[in-house]
Parts: sequence; C-alpha cells; structure tokens
Amino acid sequence: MRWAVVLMLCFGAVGCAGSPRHFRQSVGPGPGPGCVGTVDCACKNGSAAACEQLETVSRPRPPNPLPPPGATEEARKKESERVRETCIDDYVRCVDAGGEHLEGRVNGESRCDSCRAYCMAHGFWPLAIYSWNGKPLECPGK
Amino acid sequence: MPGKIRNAFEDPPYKDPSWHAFIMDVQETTGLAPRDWPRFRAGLKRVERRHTSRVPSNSMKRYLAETAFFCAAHWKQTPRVVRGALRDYLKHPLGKRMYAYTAAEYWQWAAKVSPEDLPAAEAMVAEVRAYLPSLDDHERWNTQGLLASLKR
Repeated sequence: MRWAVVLMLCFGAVGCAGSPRHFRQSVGPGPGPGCVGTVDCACKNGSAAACEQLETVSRPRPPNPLPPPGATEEARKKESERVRETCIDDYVRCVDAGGEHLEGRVNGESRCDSCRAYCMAHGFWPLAIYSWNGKPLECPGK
Repeated sequence: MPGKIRNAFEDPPYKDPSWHAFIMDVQETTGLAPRDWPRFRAGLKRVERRHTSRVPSNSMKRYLAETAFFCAAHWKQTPRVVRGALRDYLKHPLGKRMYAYTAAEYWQWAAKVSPEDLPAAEAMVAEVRAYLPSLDDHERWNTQGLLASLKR
C-alpha cells in the first residue's frame, strides 16, 4: 500500500525530485529525435540486438496461470468429498471387523466413530488413536 | 533397513472371543509404555504366555511385534529400542497397507528423534511411493493421505 502511494506521487510529474526515475531522465543523452527510447533508437540505427530486445519487451505476456475464479473452491470441495467417501469405506470395514463393539476415545462413542472422526480431520484412516491415558486404541479395518 | 513387503495373512476377527481377550490384554499393557518401558516389554511377554495356544501363534507374535514397534516410535524411545522393534516387526509378513503405516511411523520418529535414521526411513517411504500405482483407488488415496501427513 505504501509503495502504491509512492509510485502515484512519482508518476504525478512534479514533486518527485530525487527519485531514481527523475534522475535517469535528467542526466545522460536520452532518446534522439524520431524514437521513443534508447533501445528504439539503437534499433532504428540498425542494431539487430536492440531490435531483438525491443521485440522481447513488447511481446505479449503468457496468460495468467491462475485458475479461473471458483476453481480452487471446487477442487477443495472435491477433495473433502473424496476424504468423506474414503473414510466411510474404512468405517464400513471397521464395523465389519467388529469395531463397533470396542470402546472409543470418549464415553458413548464406538471405536469406529472415533477412528472415522480422525480420518475426516486428517484425510486418512489411522492405524490407532490414542486414549486419554496414552493407550493406543487400534482402528480395525487395516 | 531393508523392507520386506509380503502378502499378509489375516488376523482372527475381533468377534472371536479369544482374539478379543488377547487384544484387550495387550491394550491394558500398553498403558505402561509411556511410563516404564522395561515393564511394558515384560508385560507383553506375560500376555504372550497367557494367550499362547488360545489364539493363532503367527497372528499373536505379529501383533505383539507391531505393538512394540508402534509404541516405541510413538513414545520416542531410543534408536536402539526402535531399530530393534522395527527389525523384529519386519520379520513378519505385513502387506502393503501395514508397511505404509510402519514406514510413516518410522519416518516421523526419525525426523523428531534420530536424524541418522532418516535415510533408512526415507528409503521405506520411497518404497511405499513406488507401489502407490499398484494399489486400488481406495488404498491409494488413503496412503497418499498418510504420506501427506508426514511433517518434520
């Protein structure tokens, strides 16, 4: 923001004495008649290197690589849907293996519920979750 | 440490009363791991004696080795302890899924506790990455999520 203010002041023609831009324009030969810049002049005077440089400068930039608006949000939604589906698949495996009858991390929660909560938060089915007293509670379904 | 990914045999289901009792017994013992490592290891040996001939021997030994390794890594045991536990565990057939968990846990431990183990841990993780394409969609996503969770 501070830089934007400084630039606006400088490009406002006056009141910017001492800025690098002002200094460069005041000292040295500057562009000759019929050209818009030093490189332009050199090109018009027959320098192939200058012409090449001029072409490079004026060549249009490649399109902005940023995804179109909304695409990131869509990718995020797709990813969370993928995680949800994967965790549900593992949850089913867990129930099939009998994990519903094992204690979970907190009272009233089954082991499969606790493991699924971890999966939803971290993006993968854990091997085990840890109880409050540090005991690894295995997540069935491996 | 060379990893051996072999087809794993199935453990008995949790519904099997003997296997369930064994798992519960191991789980009780793991409470000792963060407090008293030698007592924890002795406890696992006692559990083994108590359940021998009640549950399949190969499943029991693998499960005990697995518990010892994951507890050692999780509770940031010394390199000697963790390497020994990993060596014992890798003698058992693990299958790709368990191998991925093991590689991830070893890597996490190495990153936090023993940087000199990082090359070996990286090698295991690289093996996991190499077999990712051979996994079905579900396993691949899960394993990618597991690997993505690895942080120093």
